[in-house]
Amino acid sequence: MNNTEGFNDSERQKALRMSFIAGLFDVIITVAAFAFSNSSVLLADFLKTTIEFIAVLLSLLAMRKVCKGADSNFEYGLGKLENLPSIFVGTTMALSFMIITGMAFKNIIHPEHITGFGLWISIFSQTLYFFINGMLSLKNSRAAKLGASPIMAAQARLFLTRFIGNLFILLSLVLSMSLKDFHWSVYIDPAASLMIAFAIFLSTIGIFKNSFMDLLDKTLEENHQIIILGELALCFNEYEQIHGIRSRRSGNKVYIEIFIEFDPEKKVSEITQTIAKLSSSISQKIAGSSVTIGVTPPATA
Amino acid sequence: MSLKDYIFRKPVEFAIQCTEIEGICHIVYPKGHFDAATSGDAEKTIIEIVEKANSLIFNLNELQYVSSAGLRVFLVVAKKMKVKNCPLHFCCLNQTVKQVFEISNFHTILEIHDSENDALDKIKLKTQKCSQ
Repeated sequence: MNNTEGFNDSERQKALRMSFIAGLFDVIITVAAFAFSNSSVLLADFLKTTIEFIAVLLSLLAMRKVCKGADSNFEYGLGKLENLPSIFVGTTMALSFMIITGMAFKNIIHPEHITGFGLWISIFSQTLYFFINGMLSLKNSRAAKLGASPIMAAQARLFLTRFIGNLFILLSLVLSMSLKDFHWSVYIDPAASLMIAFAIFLSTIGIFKNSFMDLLDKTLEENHQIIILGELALCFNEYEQIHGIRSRRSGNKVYIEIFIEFDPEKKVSEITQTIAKLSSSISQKIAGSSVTIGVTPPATA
Repeated sequence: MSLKDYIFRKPVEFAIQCTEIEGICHIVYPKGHFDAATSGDAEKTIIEIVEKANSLIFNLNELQYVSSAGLRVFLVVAKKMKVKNCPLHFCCLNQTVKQVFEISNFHTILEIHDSENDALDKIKLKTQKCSQ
């Protein structure tokens, strides 16, 4: 039994399409801002935005493939395909972290005041995208919580990072321009860049951790394991022995296999009733789960 | 826990001790963290004790934490003792372990006591009834 509550696949695709359109405009604006200024922070912003846009594009393509469904060559579905764009998003964020950190140290060693029309383009766009990214982060975070999807979780983190990035770039530009009479103002840009880099670094770790663990078929989280054991405890008198529990994630789907032994004297109808009850109660409590219960024969002496 | 304590903390070890009260029961004393890393070896040791025990008490006084992997071992033990028709008792659970038992419904299938003496009295009482 699969839990179909929460965001469905078409709503998740819609959220990704919105991210794609917002990302495309962001790339165009950051190119313009970078081209008409001498700010290395804006160069870093342009690189970061472009890489992120490619990541959103890949996520959208993967999601369309997942929604289209798998053929008989992929009988467990294409859920794991969702993890690959998540890893790419993580990689692009790691690259962004290195670029921004490198630029910040270059500006600290060779400080100069930032000038050019591109700064005004960036101030306008950062203000606009500050609100857009904040909204998209909340929307994707809600989709990830309801649908237990790694793609949406990666997207939510990505937009939160961009939201924080917008705020710091905006503050950095406004303070650098308004305080240019003070010699120390040349260090505002690199200092703000390092703070953005730190936020990106933390998000990158989270994305890698989740995506790699799912690809390596890590068992379910402890709270879900406790639910499974709790349901087995409730049916304690209906089976003879428990021989194993296996679980793994594939995208937003969860596969649980339980191997139990029944009293050989028990009727098949009683056994199927217990299996149906156990399977249904676990499926209801763990979103997106597919429960298989295997009957293990009693060990012969 | 301070950051320094967290970074330099020693890994919590897990150990099992067992004493036998002649003719009455075996008492198992798990100590430390009973989790996925320690449950494999622990299960083998516990099953060996279960096979020779007529009645069993788990004194969890020094068990700091039990994860789902540890709970699964307790479930297997409970089933084996039930098949043998032998009593199984748990005692001296700390607050953390007690909460895990309650969340996982284990408190509904296992006999839990506040002290080792309470568990022993229960076993002695049952033994007396059987001999009468």
